[in-house]
Amino acid sequence: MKTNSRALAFAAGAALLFGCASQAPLRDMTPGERPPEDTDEAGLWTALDEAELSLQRSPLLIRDPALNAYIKKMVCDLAGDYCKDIRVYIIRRPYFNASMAPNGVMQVWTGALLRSENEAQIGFVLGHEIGHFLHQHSIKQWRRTKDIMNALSILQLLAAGSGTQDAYDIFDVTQVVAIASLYKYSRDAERESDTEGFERAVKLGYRADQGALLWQGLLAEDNARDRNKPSGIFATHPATEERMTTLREAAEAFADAGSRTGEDAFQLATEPFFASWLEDEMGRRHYPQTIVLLDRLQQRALGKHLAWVEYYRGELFRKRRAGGDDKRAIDAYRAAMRVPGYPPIAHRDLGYMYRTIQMPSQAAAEWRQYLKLQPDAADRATVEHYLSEATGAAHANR
Amino acid sequence: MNPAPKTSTRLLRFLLLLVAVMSLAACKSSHVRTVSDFKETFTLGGKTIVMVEPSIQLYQMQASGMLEPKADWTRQAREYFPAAVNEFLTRKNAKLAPDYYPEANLPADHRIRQVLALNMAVMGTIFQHSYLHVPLPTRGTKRRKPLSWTVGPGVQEIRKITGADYMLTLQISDSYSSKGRVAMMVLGLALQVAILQGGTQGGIATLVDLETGEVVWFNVMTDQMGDMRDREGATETARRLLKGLPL
Repeated sequence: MKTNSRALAFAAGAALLFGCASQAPLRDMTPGERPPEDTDEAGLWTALDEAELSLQRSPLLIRDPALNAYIKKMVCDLAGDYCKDIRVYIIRRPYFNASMAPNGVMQVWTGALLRSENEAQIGFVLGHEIGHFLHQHSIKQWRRTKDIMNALSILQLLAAGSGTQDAYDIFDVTQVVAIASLYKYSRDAERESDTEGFERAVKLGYRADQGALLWQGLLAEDNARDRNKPSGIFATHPATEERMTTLREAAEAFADAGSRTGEDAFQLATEPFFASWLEDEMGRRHYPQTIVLLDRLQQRALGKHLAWVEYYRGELFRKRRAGGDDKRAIDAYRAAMRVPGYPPIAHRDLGYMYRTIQMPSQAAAEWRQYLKLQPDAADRATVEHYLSEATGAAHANR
Repeated sequence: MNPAPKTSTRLLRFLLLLVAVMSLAACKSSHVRTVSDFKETFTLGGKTIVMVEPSIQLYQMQASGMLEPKADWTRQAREYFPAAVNEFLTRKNAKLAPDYYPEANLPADHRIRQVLALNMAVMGTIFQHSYLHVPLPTRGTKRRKPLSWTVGPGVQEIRKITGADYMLTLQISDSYSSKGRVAMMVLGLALQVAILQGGTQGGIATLVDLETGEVVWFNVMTDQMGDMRDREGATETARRLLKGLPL
């Protein structure tokens, strides 16, 4: 009986603590404004200002002025008066992600640029991040986390102090509920930002269905994931059918809003980086996902892009070497070579494939072609070495 | 469920806890290493020192132990602490060049910023391998070994601008318990379930030869009681962090 009343008192204390969490009012967010110095938000800014300096020095930062100007202009078009509050950093990481810090630091990862087919799609992503900024999600999340963690640690002490099993049980349940509520909050924030991003992109005359299309592509990739490896794509942005449905319904409601996709301009701006971003993508070694991505990229790829997609398909199969992959690799390299203006390294790597499956004369033919097309290749000496090895072996086999 | 312990046992347990906490709270340490530990003599002997932009960040420890950065405290400490360092060095008759703060609009890839960033990285490495003694294969396994770290001759850029012979770099982070944290600490003690740590001060200092880039002096300071939110506290912190500087 006594135990019960103590546990009850504990539960009452728990309820009280969660009710009395302190929530300071949010700022009005006038453009160009810094938070007042005595606030928790200003504290976060001082720490973030230092982090921004190291971001500026990061070897992962893409500094190309043209690409930066292009993405920054899109952010400005989407953000309006808040343009000057946001600083864009393009980060060379092959995962689909973008992020927004409360002090205006926006990170756009190259994995998100590689996966976007046009301005309408990346515009939706950028608008989504602007949504986080304008709705001050980071600071709200910080305050919630702070309150919940404070309450939980007090409860933990009380539970330990009361020494009753009931109190421990109540603490466990409370902890699960409290932490789950943080995730729920995060999903709500994502939803709110989805809406913001969608509306801002549509207002600029972009086609309304592109956000949903992008999600569809990402979902397809995620479904192909090796379940033993982390998602990468949805680590921070949990995908739910509901979220996609909401976007699709919104798109249908705005079906006649605009027709702009900005595909040509986007392709032109990202063209110089396409191959290097695909190279980074290969480095993830999430091959089933990369195949889905390559299939999607192939549908719209033209000219040199198509050659790169085929080339990296060859690379993928050559490196993976699952059953049947050797032949798939050879076919893919050959497909790349049928595209005018294809990269000569396709011959070199097809040569390596032949070498692996011990077909030295075929390998030698590819390497000769490589050196013919690219006489000043940086790895000429290496390839010549393999070439002499292969021709020696070819003679020996005869 | 265990029966409640007798009052006398409870009291004893409480006292033991109290003693433990008191001794923890008094915990201060300052760890000094210089090349002079290993060379016959090393003094600055009238050479000029410049303090470059120190890295200072103050936090408030929440009840849960989370650290929240504080803007107003940080600004104050960024004002008080460099002044206290200057005062300390002047009192010790050190020859000082004016403090050097790189211009705010200096781009991140500018040589000066790069050298200063490298210097900070070297400080972190020294802390890890010469203070925490995390083994580094290239440095062998002996615990005490010559302080053989260098930032490289790139530091001459700093010499050109400041005219100084040595560069003093200081990194400090400091946290203070919120009322909630203090309440938690008391509660943990009263319920006899936990000894919780409060805010802590930590600092690293190095002195670098601006000709060769060699790190000639290094100090680490941790303190549970330090406070940089006022001038006296900043003065005390400076004294402790600069302890053993071979002036």
